[in-house]
Amino acid sequence: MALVERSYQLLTIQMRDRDLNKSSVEMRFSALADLTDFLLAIPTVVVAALAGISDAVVVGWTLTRQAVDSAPADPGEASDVERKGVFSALTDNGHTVTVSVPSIKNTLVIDRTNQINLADALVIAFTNILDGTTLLDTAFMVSNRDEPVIEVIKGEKHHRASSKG
Amino acid sequence: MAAIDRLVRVHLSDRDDRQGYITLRLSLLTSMADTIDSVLTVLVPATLAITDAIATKVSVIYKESLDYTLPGSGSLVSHAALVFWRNTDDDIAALIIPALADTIEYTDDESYGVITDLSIFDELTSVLVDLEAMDAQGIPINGTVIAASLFV
Repeated sequence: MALVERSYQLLTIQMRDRDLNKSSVEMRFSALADLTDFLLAIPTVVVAALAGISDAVVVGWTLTRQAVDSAPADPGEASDVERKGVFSALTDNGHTVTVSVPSIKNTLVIDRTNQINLADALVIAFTNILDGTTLLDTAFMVSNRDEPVIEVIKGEKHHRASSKG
Repeated sequence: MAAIDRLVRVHLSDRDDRQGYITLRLSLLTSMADTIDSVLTVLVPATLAITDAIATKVSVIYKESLDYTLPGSGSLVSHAALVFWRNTDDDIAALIIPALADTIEYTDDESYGVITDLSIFDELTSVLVDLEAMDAQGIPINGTVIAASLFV
């Protein structure tokens, strides 16, 4: 099968009570005429409406759109998500950010090292997304400080438990 | 708006059905549909070229953590309301609202209570109709509340 895009956005509003128990309200939205207006409406209008009928507090929300493969092919024998390709990159302010790729191909790792071959054409095609503007015309990758990623400087093979993603 | 995280996540699975994912943080808020199209046409193929795993799901996520103060001692998320709307297509939409406010009255009928004053949901209904919301099963919420009960 293939990844098939779902036609809706899922809004999950996370709530918490006095004893820190968690619960949520889930709803779908098929079309968002103006995404910016909608994102503003969540904490102001939707949260306010919930506050009128609930004693819990809203602690956060997520809005998600997905594409899902409902019948994926069997992964190859060599696949192992705990074998990760960890790419390190610099932001325009000199900070570093990392991106992990589960089950990095061993053929992209330089023999007798754990270094990923950054000169390989397949690797370049991927790192161009991290430090370039090829993902979107208007959006690019940033760090958690909102600093643009400007250069991938290193790629290493690591083994990490899959529970950490 | 600066506090909103904008993430793209590609979920991968291996031969032993273990899960991993790639997460990228994006610079701008754009159309979610356009973003996921770009991810499917650019990021996913580039990722699959360097991994032995398979892609099972792609998510574009906007999320925000809100400042809050601990609610009063009466709040209990398991003391929820199950609210039903009949929409313009005569379908029934439903939402569960955690921690029904203890000021709301309901009948004490065995193990559940029926909420008698449905007008308390008017503001929420107005908001959801304006935003063209659907319930978690995709049924539009564009009508009026026809019933609500305590859902513990």
